[in-house]
Amino acid sequence: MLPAVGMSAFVLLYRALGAPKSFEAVAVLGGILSFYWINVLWGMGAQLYWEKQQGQLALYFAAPCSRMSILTGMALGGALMTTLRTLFGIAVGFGVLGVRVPHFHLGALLLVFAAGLLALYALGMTLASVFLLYGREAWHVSNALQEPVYFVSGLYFPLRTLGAFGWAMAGIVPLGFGLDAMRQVVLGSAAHGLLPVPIETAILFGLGLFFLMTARFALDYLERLAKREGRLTQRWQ
Amino acid sequence: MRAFAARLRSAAWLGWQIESNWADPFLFVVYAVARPLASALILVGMYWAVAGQATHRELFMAFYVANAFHVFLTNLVIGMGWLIVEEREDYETLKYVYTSPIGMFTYLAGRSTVKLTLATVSATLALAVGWIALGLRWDWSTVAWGPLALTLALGLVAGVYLGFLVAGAGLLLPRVSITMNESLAVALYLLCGVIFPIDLLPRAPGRLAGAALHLLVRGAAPLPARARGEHQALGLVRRHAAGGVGAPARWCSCWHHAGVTVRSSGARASSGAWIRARRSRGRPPREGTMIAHEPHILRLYVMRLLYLLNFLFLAPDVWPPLIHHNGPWDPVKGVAFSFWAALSTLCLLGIRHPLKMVPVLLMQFVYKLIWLLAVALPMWPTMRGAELTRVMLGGVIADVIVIPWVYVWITYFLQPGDRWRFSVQAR
Repeated sequence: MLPAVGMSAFVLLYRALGAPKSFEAVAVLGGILSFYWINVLWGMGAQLYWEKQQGQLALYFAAPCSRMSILTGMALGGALMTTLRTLFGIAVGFGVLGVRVPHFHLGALLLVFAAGLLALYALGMTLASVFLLYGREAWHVSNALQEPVYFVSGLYFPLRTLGAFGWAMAGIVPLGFGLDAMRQVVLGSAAHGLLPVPIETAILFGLGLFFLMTARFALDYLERLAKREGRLTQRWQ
Repeated sequence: MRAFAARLRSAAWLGWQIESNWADPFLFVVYAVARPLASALILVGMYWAVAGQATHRELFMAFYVANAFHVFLTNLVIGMGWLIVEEREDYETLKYVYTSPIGMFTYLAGRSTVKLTLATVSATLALAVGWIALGLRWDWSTVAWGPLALTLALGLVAGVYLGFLVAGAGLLLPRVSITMNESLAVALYLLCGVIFPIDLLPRAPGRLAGAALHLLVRGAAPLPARARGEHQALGLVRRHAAGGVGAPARWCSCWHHAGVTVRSSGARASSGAWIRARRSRGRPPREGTMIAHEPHILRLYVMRLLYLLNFLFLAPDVWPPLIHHNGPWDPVKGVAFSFWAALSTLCLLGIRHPLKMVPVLLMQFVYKLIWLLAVALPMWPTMRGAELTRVMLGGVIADVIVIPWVYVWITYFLQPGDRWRFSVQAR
C-alpha cells in the first residue's frame, strides 16, 4: 500500500503542473515497479542480514540444500507476493486516480516484465550476500540509495530526461531499463523511450544472467568465509 | 536547569554518535544528504520531463521549496518514531535509556536536536541546489521574514512535539511501530499535499483524511493558499509563486501554527502519560504521586496574579452597568455581562484557591478562544485592529502561559472520574 501512496503524490504533481495525461501513466507504472524494487532491496537483499540479526542465519548454512536454491525460492515467493501487492497500486492508479492508458500488446508487456523481474531479483540475490558481508554499512548505504535509485532509474519520469547520465545509470540498475521497456509497450511513443524495446529486453535478460552468476559467486565466497572464520552468523559482526 | 541542559547535551552527543558512528565522515555526509537531495531531484526530473508541455509551470517552484522543507517533518516526526525502533529492536538499549537518570523525554529531546540539525542541512542543501544548479529563483524582496520565521519556529516546536507523540505510540505499539513509521512518512507526504494542491486528492475519504492530517500537521493555512497547495513554511515564495497573499493571511497562518503547537504540546503530554502509565502498570498507586505533578509555587502566585487582574479589570467594567443600567437590556448582551460578572466574582475565590478554581481560567481561555475563532477570524481584516480583539488575544495568551496544563491533564483526564453509582457508604 505504501508505494502506492507515494505514487499517488507524483501522479497528482503531474496533474497540478498540467502535464499531458501520458505522464500520469508514466508515474503509475513507476509506482507499480517500485513495489518490486522495495521487495528486492528489503525482502531479498536484507533477508539474510535480518536472519543474522535474529540469530537464525546459522540454520540457513546448516540446511541440507544450496544457498542458491534458498534465495531462488525467496525470489519466486517474493515476486509472487509482490505481484499481489501491486494489485493495490493498480487499483489506486487506474481506479482511484483515474489514470488511463491506450490499448497495448499484453504478451509483449508480460515478456519485458518477466525480463525485468529476472534482472531485478537476480540483483537482489547478489545484494543478499553484500548485505551480509558488510552488515550495517550495507544497510545504511542501501537505505540512503533508495531515493537516488528512484531518481537514476527514472521511476516517475522518462529515463530519457536524464540524457547521457540516464543511459549510464540504466546499465547499472536494471530497474531503469525494465521500466522504460514496459512504458514503451504500454504508452508507445508517449513513453519517450531510451532504446528500442527488443534491445532493452535483451539487455535485461543479459543483466539477469550476469547478476545470477554474481550471486552464485558471492554466495560461494560467503560460505567459504563463514566456514573459515565462523563469525558471519553471529550478531553484531 | 543546568542539569537539564547537561542531560540534553549528553543525549544530543549520544545521538550524533549513534547516527554517525557506522561510517567515515564523508560517507555519512553523503548518506545524510543523498536521500533528500534525490527526492528533490526526482521532482526536478519530472519537471524537466514536462517542461515544454506543462501549463502550470509557475507552481513548480512552490512545490520544490515545500518538498525541501518537508524534510523537517520527516526527520522530526517520523525520525522520533524510528528512534524508538532502533533503540528497542536494533541496539536493544531502550531499557537502559529508560531506566537511566537522563529520562526518556530528555533523551528524546536531545536526539531530536541531531535530527533537526541534519534536516536543516538537507533543506538548505536542497534549496541551494535549486537556486544554484536548477535556476529556481525567488524574489527575496517579497519574502515575509517575520511570518516565515515565526511559522518555522512554531512548526519546528510542533514537529518535535508530534515526534514525541509518534515515539510514545511506538513505545506502546511495538509490533506495528515499523509499519506505523513507514505509513506515517508516506501519508504525511501525500495527505499534506507537499508537492500538489491538496484539493487534487480524490474525493472522500481521501480528501477528508487529507484535510484532517493537513490541519493536524501543518495548521490551517489560509484557505485560498491551501487550495493552491502551498506549504505552511512557504512564506518566502507564497506571493512570488502563487499570486499573492496579504500580510493578515500570513500572520493568520502563523496564528494557526501556534494552535498546532499547543495541540502538539498536548500530544507530548499524552505520550508522557502513556509512558507513565506503562511505568506504573502492575503497581499499586504510590502515595504522594500527585505531589510530583503539582505546580511550582511560583506558578501558583502567577495564577493568583491573573485571578486578581481579572477581578480588577473586569469587575469595575461589568458590575456598575449591571446595577445601574437604564431601561431594559438586550437579553443576549445581558447574558454576556452576567457571565463576566460571575467570572470576576469567582476570580476572587481563585486568589485563595488557585488550583481548585482552575476551571474558571479554563472557562476564560475557552470562551475567548471560541470568540477569536468564530467571531474575529472570519472578519479578520476589520477586527484585527479592534481593541476587543487585542483583549481577547492577550487573554488567551495569558491563559496559555498561566494555566498549569500538566495538572489539568492529569486531574481532568487521567485520574478516574467521580463515581456513577451509589457507593456502599451512600446507601
